[in-house]
Amino acid sequence: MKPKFLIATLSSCSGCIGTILALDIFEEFLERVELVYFPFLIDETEIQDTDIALIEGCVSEGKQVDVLKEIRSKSKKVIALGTCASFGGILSLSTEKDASPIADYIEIDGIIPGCPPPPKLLGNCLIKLLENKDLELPENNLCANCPLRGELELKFRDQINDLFPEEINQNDERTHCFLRDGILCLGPVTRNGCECRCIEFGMPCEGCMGPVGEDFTSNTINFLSMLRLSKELRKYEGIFFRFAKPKIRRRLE
Amino acid sequence: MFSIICKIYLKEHGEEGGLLDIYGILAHPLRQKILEILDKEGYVSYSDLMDKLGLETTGQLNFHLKKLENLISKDKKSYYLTEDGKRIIQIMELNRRVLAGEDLESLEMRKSEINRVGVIICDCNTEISSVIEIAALNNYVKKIPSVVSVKIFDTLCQEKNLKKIADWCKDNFLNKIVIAACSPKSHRVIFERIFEGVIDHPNIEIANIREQCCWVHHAYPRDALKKAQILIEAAVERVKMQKAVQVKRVEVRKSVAILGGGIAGMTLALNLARAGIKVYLIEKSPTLGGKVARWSKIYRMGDCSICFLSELIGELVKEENITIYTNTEIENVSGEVGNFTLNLIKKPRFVDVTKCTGCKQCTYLCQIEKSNQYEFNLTNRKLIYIPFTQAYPYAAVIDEEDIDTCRQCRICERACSNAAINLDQKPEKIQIKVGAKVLAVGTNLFSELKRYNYNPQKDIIISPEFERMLSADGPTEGNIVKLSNGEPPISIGIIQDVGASQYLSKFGDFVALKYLDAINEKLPFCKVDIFYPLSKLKEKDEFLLNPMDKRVHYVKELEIKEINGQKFVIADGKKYPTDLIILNINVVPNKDLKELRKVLDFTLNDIGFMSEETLASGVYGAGSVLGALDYSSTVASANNVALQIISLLSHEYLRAESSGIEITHEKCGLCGLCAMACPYNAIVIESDKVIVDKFKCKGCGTCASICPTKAIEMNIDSTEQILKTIETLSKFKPMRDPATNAPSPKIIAFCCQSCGYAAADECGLKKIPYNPNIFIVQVPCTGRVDTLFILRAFELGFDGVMVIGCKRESCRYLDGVEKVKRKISLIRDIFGSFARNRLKRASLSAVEGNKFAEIVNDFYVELEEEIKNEA
Repeated sequence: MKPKFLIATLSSCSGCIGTILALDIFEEFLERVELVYFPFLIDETEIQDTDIALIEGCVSEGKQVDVLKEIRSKSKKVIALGTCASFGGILSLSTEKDASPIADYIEIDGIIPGCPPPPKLLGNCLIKLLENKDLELPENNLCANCPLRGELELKFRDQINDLFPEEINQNDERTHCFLRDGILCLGPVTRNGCECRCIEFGMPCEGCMGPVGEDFTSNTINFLSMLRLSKELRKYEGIFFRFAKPKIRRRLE
Repeated sequence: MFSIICKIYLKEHGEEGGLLDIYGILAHPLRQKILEILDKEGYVSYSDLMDKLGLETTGQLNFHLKKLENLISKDKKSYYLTEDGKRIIQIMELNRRVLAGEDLESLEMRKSEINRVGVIICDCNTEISSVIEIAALNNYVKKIPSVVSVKIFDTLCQEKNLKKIADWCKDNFLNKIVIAACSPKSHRVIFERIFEGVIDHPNIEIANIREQCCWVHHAYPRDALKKAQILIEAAVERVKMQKAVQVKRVEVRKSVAILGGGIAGMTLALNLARAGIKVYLIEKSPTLGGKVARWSKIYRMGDCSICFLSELIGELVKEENITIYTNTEIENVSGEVGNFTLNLIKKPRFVDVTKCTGCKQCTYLCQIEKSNQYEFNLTNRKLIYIPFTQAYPYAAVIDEEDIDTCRQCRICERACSNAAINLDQKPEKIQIKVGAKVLAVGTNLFSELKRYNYNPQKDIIISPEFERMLSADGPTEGNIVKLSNGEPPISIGIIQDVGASQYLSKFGDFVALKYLDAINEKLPFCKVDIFYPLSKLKEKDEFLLNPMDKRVHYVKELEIKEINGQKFVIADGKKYPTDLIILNINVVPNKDLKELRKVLDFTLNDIGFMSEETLASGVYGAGSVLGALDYSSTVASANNVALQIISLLSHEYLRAESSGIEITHEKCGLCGLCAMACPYNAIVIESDKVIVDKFKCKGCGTCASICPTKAIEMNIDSTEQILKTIETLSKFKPMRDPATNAPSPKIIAFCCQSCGYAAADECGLKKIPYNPNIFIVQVPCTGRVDTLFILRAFELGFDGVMVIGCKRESCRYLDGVEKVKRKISLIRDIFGSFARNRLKRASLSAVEGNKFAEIVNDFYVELEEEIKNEA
């Protein structure tokens, strides 16, 4: 019997769904599973009993909590798909809307982080799920696979002034760490597994894969307290809350 | 099962007692019930016993009581269990568990995986029970999950029957212990000794319910009880998460490195060498002797100082156990108490000491002069020189800074008949291994003398220069003269305590008295006036200059002026003509201390001398690194340190502290943050792996607080454990003030073990009360405080967070306080006014108990206001 899958969307840009649809293994995936609820593809409007529920998007309205709870009660496994569902996501930057990870309201069985999740990681995770295995995510940080790490030069430049290099050019032959040029890269506090797509493209990491440990903001503060951040950057929320906002901060707003 | 019971019982009684028919005694259910009642109630009267058993006739009870005669006893009123009786109860409990299906043997085997926590509540001789009800505490603790057994002691630290405790652990298959008692700072070692060989040290957790609960919350007994319950629960949760830790055993090296070849270093070296300890005496300058070698006399010691100093050097040189390295500096240190490795650099002297005969031919040949630092720049010397006549080693030397000039000339090199001079000598690396290290580098002299018109050529000199003048081998051959014209002065003015007032000491007074004697002897008709600024007197705890003495003037205002070629000391408006003015300068902390601190692992006190309470082990201070000491105090401190070192090194092995860090390589992405954060450079990345030098690591945990993936973790006080502690403490619900019914703020304070936690203990010892809503979490260093701890505390409902660490220069782990400061300032920038008002950082020294109470209480009041405003 094919495993039943449910794919639901809360507050999101649907980028994660788009990534699923564009996966090279998507056809194989369709053949091997039974989709019971997936508004993008099938007409079913009621939430059905399922083996695995993938939930995309963060919780920003009260009624979404009811949907979540219903899904939880009808699913054997609930997986947070993408950074919004896992940590809150880009909506964390909003001061008006709430952006809570789904784990704040229901128990979850795993996350597939990334904004959107890197195709390779997502594909592997889907296969693991339909074979009823546990998800395995890399437990180290992005530096482990960083193409710019080079000679393991640990000395960062003290002063960090910029968020981006002046010119972004994929063909630019960057040979060393962004941090050494005074450009902020959040690779050290970000989970590995995205194959450093941004860095390959000439952009420093913004941390969309989320933390390995408990809390992204804490890790970022710990990390940046070791460097000298320019005055403007010290107060720039986009660094600290771009993809997640600690509960305490949400309470304050 | 029988066999277990027999075994346990026989253990207690030996063969004879074992013959007691316990099976017969326990055969009747009524008798078992009697024992159970007595166990539960303690003391029960005969009639109560009848009631509880539901018996109607006394005969039946009498019969059973007689049967139980070895297990129970009776005082005037009531029956109670004897020691044997209590033991039988334990066996019955064991029996019950076996019957209930618990597999005792596998319990023994799986000990390491499961948590069987035993809690000891120590009443500390009623110190606890006078504030909170122990029975209520016991009831609460019993119900904490994983707590198997609770035992109450009157005074655990005085407990003699250690076997009883060991048996309690074994019978209950305990593998972890929580001791609810006094501070771990004072008693941890004693408690560890009680459980030696029974429970591993990391598996012993202490809930500080005395200093940090009962002694400070006696005004709120109900809150104190709740707090004690929560503190114990947090300790249980922590110990449950404790993983096995490997214990290092360090072989003790019977050798000592002494930095500084002054009077303190030399005295100490001689003491240690004669006790059979190998000594490395390391001196930065080219000669032994230190400052005392340049003084004329020691106050009231008669003999000239260099005379007995050279005798001391003579003794030192004879001692086989002493190796002397002059011109040598320390580069780095690794290892731990009992076994340090020191890397030294012997700077080039450019003269081979073994070949130089000290003929001084080279010094006559040399054409270039510079001022002689050994005469405090009063005279000049050649570039190649012998520091002074009694210098050791007695050989020529060229300062490293002059070598480029010398290499252009090389006349001395060619002329030396012994071929001792080698201007191309290279620095030499030396590695030594020692069991302890001593700092005896002495002090510096106060040097900001501009406002005193200091000018030796105009006869305003400083005390060391006067010392040289008094010295028979000095520039004036022991004559007191005016350097301006070489004539003896008619009047001398001595100005006391020149320099910053934080360095005042009675040392300066001795010096003045010494000068009075010397001047009186050499120039009996010379008028001497001693001026002491009254403003400084206020801050001096002791003064030795007699105010009745006509020569001593305690004055408010002091000025040095020259009018028509005559110098005057103008004191409170009165003019004192003086030919020679001596500025009696203070000694100030050695400027090298700040750098040495990073290498040698010691702390500085508030005014910059080495702290006598340096918390690292294996490092000692002798002589005036500890403060401005006179000769006899210096020698006394050296002798004192000698005793400490001899006793330390008398052990064959030391158990190394097991706290340290562990690495999970799968989680490590080699970002290198840990290596950046480590204050001791103990972390390096080698061949794609983070490697910790366990000998350099001191266990501050700064790396663990920084690591984004927690690949690097502490094996004691892990992040998990601290988070769990915060969570448990957050369950505390304080009483509301019945008058206002306003919520009272809850505060969590992360305190470093060296200072913040110690200050809280000190506050307890002084019984200075503070609000029970203030909870203390111990961290090894404030650098250990992860932003996550702070944010999580707020999330879990704490209204205020404090981080209390050492003062800047006395930070036990060099710069942990600085690191946490940067974290907090970033948190404040990001979280704005919320964090500014509710997150506080403070620095205390370990003795500032009253200040601890003050700052936490102030913070409490601030938060009360804040909460009110918010509502």
